[in-house]
Amino acid sequence: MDEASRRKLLKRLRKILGSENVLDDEYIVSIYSRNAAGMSSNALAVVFPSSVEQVSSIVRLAYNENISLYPQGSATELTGSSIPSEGGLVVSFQNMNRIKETSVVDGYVVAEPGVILRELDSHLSQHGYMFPVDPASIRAATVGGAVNTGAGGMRGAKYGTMREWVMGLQVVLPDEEGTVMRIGCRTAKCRQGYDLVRLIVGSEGTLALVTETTLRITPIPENTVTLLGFYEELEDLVNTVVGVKENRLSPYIMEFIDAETVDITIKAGGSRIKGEGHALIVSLDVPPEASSRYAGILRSIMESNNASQIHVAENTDQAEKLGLFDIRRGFHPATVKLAAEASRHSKGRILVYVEDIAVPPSRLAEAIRRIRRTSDEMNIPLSLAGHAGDGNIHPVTWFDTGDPESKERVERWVGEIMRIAVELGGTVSSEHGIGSSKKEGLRMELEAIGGLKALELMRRIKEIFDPKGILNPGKVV
Amino acid sequence: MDADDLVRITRMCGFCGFCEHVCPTYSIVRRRHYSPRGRVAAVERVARGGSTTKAVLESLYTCLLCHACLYECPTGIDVAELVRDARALLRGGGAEQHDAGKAVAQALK
Ligand SMILES: Cc1cc2nc3c(=O)[nH]c(=O)nc-3n(C[C@H](O)[C@H](O)[C@H](O)COP(=O)(O)OP(=O)(O)OC[C@H]3O[C@@H](n4cnc5c(N)ncnc54)[C@H](O)[C@@H]3O)c2cc1C
Ligand code: SF4
Ligand code: SF4
Repeated sequence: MDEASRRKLLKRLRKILGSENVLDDEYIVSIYSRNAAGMSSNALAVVFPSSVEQVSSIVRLAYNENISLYPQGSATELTGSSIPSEGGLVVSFQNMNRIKETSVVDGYVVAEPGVILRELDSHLSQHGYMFPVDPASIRAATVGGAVNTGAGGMRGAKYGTMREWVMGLQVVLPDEEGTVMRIGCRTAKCRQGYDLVRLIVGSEGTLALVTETTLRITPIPENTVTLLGFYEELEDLVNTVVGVKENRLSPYIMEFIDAETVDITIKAGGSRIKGEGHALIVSLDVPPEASSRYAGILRSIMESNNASQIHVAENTDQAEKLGLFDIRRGFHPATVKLAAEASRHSKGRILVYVEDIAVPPSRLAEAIRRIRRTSDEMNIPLSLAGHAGDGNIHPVTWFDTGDPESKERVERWVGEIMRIAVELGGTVSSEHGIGSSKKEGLRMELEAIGGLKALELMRRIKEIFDPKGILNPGKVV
Repeated sequence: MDADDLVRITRMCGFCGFCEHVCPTYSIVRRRHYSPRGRVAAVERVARGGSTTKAVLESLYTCLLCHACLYECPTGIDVAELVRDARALLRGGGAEQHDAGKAVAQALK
């Protein structure tokens, strides 16, 4: 775009949004063109709409002028899905951060896309309720980002991912009119023809701009019982998971951390509880009167599978006081610290990369073992933890962006990890999405399950929503 | 800290944004250059001798140096320390300080 057209476009945008909401300073653009996986790019400007009408006006202008739009929350995604390209506009939803309505009786909250998940949860806690999707990035991730990545978290064992919690959406379509469309219901049951709400959830900003969300809420459990055990053998850990399910228990949280990662975390001072071996944390939400009984059942399942050093908390406060979640919460900071130490001799930025695959829980032991072996063979430093309840594994490593060899090795490693997931009947992305970095993985997975045709359908769906291909082009499909 | 030290530390920032929710300036001005991670990027720019645009100065001179973000950062980056040192580098540069004053005045208007 030549300078005169650029100026003209910015002037028109400033007329729609006000000059304080159209920023083209090169430094500001650079911090809105970067994500938490170290990917970066450039853009024409960042725009901050405050209303659905403004979003619609931006879309109309972009449609007529063939300008690409890149919706963005907090850019904590890890697959490149929020990264713009040269000549495009980043549409930041930071101004649209109101919680508009809360209905405990009807079981929903209406929030704008720029609300941070932690803010939403604090707001709901005043009513004794919560929003149960709790990604590790809850302090930064926005509602819009979580909806569009289909985020999940620790409580996923019981509550699933965003897919289960979005009741309705208001969106702006990337068409000539910038059409504003409402879909979904404010009732738990809703059969509105094809399920377009769930098509948008996880669409990574490629189909529509989300301007308002109606989300299901749930009461904060009255009490939880939590046990932490350590295992010498991975099979014993996985058999505990099987045992929990066979005993008809439905865990609130069920997380694992592999032995080497436990060691790294404890050495980094990240845990009050010390122990050796693979760690498994299981939480159940049960009434206080039943706590002891359930703690006993869980303990006996763990013991019969050779767990040692079992720690028990019969209520939620006690679990926090004893630090039963420290190892799980501390493994990422501990890995970041290790990477930071490595950065003393680095040529560029050191980036901590969080992989995200899932396998059927029954294949967890095999998956963990193969991931360890592959990483050792490729000389890749590795931390490994995840959600045992749903088979979601997060292998974490780091690389030096200034060292092409280290970067290329990690890219090859990602390919191998995805292959392991597919070979074990799993998926290449369970909660982080496809973005630009996992497109090959998506193809590999669909091919393996005989679903390649789906890619063609997805491209056609994209064309129907976005005829000119101006919304977050180059991502997912 | 000299410029090289600053670059080394800013490179440890993973851009995770975990620091943002405790930052008093970010809670009022929801713009990334008013947040700790935006400031780390501004410091990096100054330390590398990159262009100190008005927004870079605005970012650095609106930091309250309160250290709140330090306790949220998995890498333990002390943004207040970095900002202080970046300001010192800018003062060494002379003319920028004058611009910085104007930028702050503008930002607080
Ligand atoms: C340390 C770390 C830990 C993490 N842990 C987890 C985890 O446990 N579980 C998990 O699921 N994820 C996790 N993530 C990934 C990430 O935080 C989530 O995907 C999060 O939901 C992204 O939210 P965001 O606001 O940062 O969105 P962004 O990164 O800004 O955007 C994500 C996607 O949503 C689109 N988008 C954003 N807002 C809109 C909108 N209003 N309309 C249309 N499209 C939009 C963007 O275009 C992009 O495609 C982690 C990330 C980090 C750095
Ligand atoms: S030290 Fe500066 S960047 Fe950090 S929280 Fe305080 S004001 Fe924000
Ligand atoms: S918490 Fe630390 S690493 Fe994360 S963005 Fe903030 S300064 Fe960077």
